[in-house]
Amino acid sequence: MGAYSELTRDGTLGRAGAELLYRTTWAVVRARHYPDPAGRGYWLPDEIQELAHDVIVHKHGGASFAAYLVAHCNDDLSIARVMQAMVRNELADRARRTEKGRLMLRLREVLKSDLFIKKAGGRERYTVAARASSADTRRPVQFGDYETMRQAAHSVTDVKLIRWNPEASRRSPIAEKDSIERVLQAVLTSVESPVELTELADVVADRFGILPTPHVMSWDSEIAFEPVDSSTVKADTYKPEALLIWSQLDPEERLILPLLGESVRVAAEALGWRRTKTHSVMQRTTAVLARALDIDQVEAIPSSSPNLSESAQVFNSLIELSVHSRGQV
Amino acid sequence: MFFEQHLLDLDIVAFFDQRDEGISERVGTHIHNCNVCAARLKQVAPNDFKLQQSEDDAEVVRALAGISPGGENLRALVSLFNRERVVDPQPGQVWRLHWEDVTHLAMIASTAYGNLTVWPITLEVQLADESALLVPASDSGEMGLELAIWPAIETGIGTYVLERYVTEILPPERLRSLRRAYRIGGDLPVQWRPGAAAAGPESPRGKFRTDLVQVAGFLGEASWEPEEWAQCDTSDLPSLAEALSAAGISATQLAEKLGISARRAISLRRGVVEPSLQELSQLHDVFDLSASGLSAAPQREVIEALDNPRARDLILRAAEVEGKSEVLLRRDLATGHFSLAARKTKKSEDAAFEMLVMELKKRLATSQESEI
Repeated sequence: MGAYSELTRDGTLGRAGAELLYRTTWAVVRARHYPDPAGRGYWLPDEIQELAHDVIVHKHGGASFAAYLVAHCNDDLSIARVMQAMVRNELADRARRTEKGRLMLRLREVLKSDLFIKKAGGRERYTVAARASSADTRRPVQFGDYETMRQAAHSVTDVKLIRWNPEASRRSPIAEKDSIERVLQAVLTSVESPVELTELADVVADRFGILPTPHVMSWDSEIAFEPVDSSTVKADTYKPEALLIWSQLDPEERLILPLLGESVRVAAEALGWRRTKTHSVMQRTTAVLARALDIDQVEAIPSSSPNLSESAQVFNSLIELSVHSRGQV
Repeated sequence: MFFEQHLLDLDIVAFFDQRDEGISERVGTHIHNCNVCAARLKQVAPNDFKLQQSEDDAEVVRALAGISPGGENLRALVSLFNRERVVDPQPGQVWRLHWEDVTHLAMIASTAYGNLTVWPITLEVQLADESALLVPASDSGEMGLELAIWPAIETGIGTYVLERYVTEILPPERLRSLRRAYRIGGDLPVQWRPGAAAAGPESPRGKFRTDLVQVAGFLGEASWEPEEWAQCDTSDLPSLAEALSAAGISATQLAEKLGISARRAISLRRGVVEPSLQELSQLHDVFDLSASGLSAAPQREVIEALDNPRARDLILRAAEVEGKSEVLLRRDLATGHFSLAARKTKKSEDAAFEMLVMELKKRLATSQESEI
């Protein structure tokens, strides 16, 4: 009996399903060269089992493991595909959790500024200095407050994004200090009570696009998981900012860079993609670059001019990188 | 294919270890033709240890069963997908859709004028953006799960994409008023809150939505009929009598081969009586008489029978046992002898459907016999 038959008969994984999950977990780890949690250079069977268990207990965007399988699978092969995506997402999520730890350290640093006050007491809670006396310290953060804080964080504009991809190879800070400071001010001003550091980290992570939420299925399969290959890039040929941005773009975003000024039809034909996909990747890449380069219209950047702005030079350097990397394929 | 049909990590790793000779040829051929998978093969880490299996599996399964969120709730959910209820598609119903390698939930939004449109449904409520509506578990019919439905991604699909009826969330009238209210931005007739705003297209919610749009687009574009069929006018297809005449089949041959009386054979040959389904089936088996060759496109009734969601399960099973893609099997059936049923009467939809079911069951039985 296969995994799907077991699932539809018993409503849970049976022997075949469990075996498939373990084999898939081990295969993903090996195929992707994921580092083991202890950093010893190889995985132990217990660690593989623990990873597989984490996949099951993880709420996949709010859905339980088995409910998700029932809704998205109708045979053993589709179960294997979904399990593979779940294991990859679990590993990516582990990377994000590490990222959250780093982010909390960074926030703690920024929160030392005079603009903020750490409230006395057991838990590490902060508020803005202007609210030092009025903050209701007894009132815990309510469920609705999270959405208020999130909206406040997103209302802050002119935020210079330095890094948005938690799995990017470079460990640069998430954003410049001034931007983080303004976001924190907006967030802490938006609610009555002091906010715990972990909650602040969630809101700030959401604002900077590193929300630790599992992205259950990537429908574009392999290419999105290809590792960053910087081995063929000669660093001194390109602007350092361009290399930083390049290291965080996914392969599709990299491919579409030189085609951003073209119509969706032309770009789709050039890349052999569906138009809907081309359109969405173009939109996504344009938005990422606009934020990373702090400009309004990426498409309007001139390719050559005697006085190119800094952003335009970085953008053109990115296009050269894209063309260069395509030549390597 | 919607997914770029790359190999599973399982296959790549097995190929790397040269473990499974059965899959080696298939995997080898794919790798030979696919740069992405060839690059993946180069990255596979060596096997530092053998993953504990075989005897330890029992323990592993016990461990999983202990933490797997099964229980009565999930059994109830699974039973919804298993019961294979026969229902006509109506607005407000939740169905599981399936085409090629994509399986997804959706609610039927409209069936007006013969056009079926759906709203995608996701279980990942945390990733629902402000355009989605969050349906509390208490409102999700028999599913008992919190859901996100996406009215802004309303998509037209063919009925052949419907795979399993799951449950009904709203009666058709309420769904109609919800759809109207959502479109004009009015007060919704349900207490369903929107999801949280996505922080741009590159945020997790933004990416999730993009993926969902692609899934919906793929399901909306799903089709099995060749384009040339759509351009053919099948209204003046020859009658069965004309088809028999064109094939040079006499009444005597009919009587002899079909084992029917001479009088009935003459009547059939002249087209004054309708053949039974069994006779139609025999006509194909004995004389190899099919619709193919007589016309490039089968009649609408044949297409409609094949599109009927009630036939989906049998079609998928037959495609699996015959090792064919669903699209190929459907085309094969449409141009095969079952399409003769469409000639039975002017109102032959039911006959075509019955004939299709008979044919599919026959194919499944044949495959089972050959396996034995």
